[in-house]
Amino acid sequence: MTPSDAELAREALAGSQAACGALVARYATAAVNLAARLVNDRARGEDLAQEAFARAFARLASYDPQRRFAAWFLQIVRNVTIDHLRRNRLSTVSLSQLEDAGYAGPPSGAADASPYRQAVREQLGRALDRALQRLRPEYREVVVLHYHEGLTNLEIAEILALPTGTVKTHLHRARKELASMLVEEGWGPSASGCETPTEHDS
Amino acid sequence: MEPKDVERWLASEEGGDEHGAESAFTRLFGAVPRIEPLPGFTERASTAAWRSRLRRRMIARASRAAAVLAVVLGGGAASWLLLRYAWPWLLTSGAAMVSGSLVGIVAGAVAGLEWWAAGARVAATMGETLSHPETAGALLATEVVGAIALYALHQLTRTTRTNGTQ
Repeated sequence: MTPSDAELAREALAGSQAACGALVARYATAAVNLAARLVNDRARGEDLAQEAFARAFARLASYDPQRRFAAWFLQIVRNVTIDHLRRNRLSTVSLSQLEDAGYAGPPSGAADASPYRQAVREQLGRALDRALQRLRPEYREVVVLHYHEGLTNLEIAEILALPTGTVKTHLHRARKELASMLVEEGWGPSASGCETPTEHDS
Repeated sequence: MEPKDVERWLASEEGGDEHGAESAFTRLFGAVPRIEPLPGFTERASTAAWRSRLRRRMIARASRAAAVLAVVLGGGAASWLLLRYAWPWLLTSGAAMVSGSLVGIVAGAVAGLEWWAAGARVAATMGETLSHPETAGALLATEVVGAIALYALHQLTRTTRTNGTQ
């Protein structure tokens, strides 16, 4: 049986290095994904995720097992990243640079899908990726936390120290902006149902 | 996934169908890749986090040990200095203070008792005098004579003043 996050945290707190490693393995992608998307830099995202893990394990005693570990830990990742951005006032880079740095790009997705559907999925993934990159940072982080990490509005509100209503509004506006960006890229009704846009294909 | 799915989402957004837009977008967002860490990250991060935790624990333990040592050494040094140099002075001062305080307290109590006794004697005499009818009558008569004399003096001074102004 797979141990829960709370059990692993308790074991790690008691001094189990294996439990510590298991938690890192479980949350490595979430941490790197959030940090890299906030700073738009994959390598820096990894460094920040590593720092976040170190900070999390140093403060493991403060983790309340009643709370979801993902929410607690991603709050630390977010704080570490925000601290870093404040210290360095980084300029952002485009996702194409992420790809150059080894970013895998859209996953192959459903293996059983037809080549056409898979192509659409990949194109949409890239288009949404580009649009996500252009979003305001406060919208981008709620989108990543909600749609990638599956956190609820309440959990996001706790992480960002915002009212739940504001999180809901951010998500709604982010979706609207993403929609209009996709329309700009030719995903609107005008390109109706026949061919997928090709102008941004790489 | 087909372009029609995207159109459905966009139409829901356009039409203000919050629930439809949310569920359609959740499905579409699955196409957005998560940024995966490079191979070896988990091992590296795990080792670094563990070392950092051990380092912090070591620092915390060393700090606690240093604090205990400081208290023990400081306390020992202070005790030694006290015994070596300040002990006689402390003893004599303490004794003087205690004895001085005792003398002061006793003297104050005696003085207080004397004043209290004197007051009690005066009160008792007055009470005894006033409790006899003849004494009380004599006192009353004296007061009446005194009041008449004061009134006569007052009238006399008023007449003199009136004559002087005319």
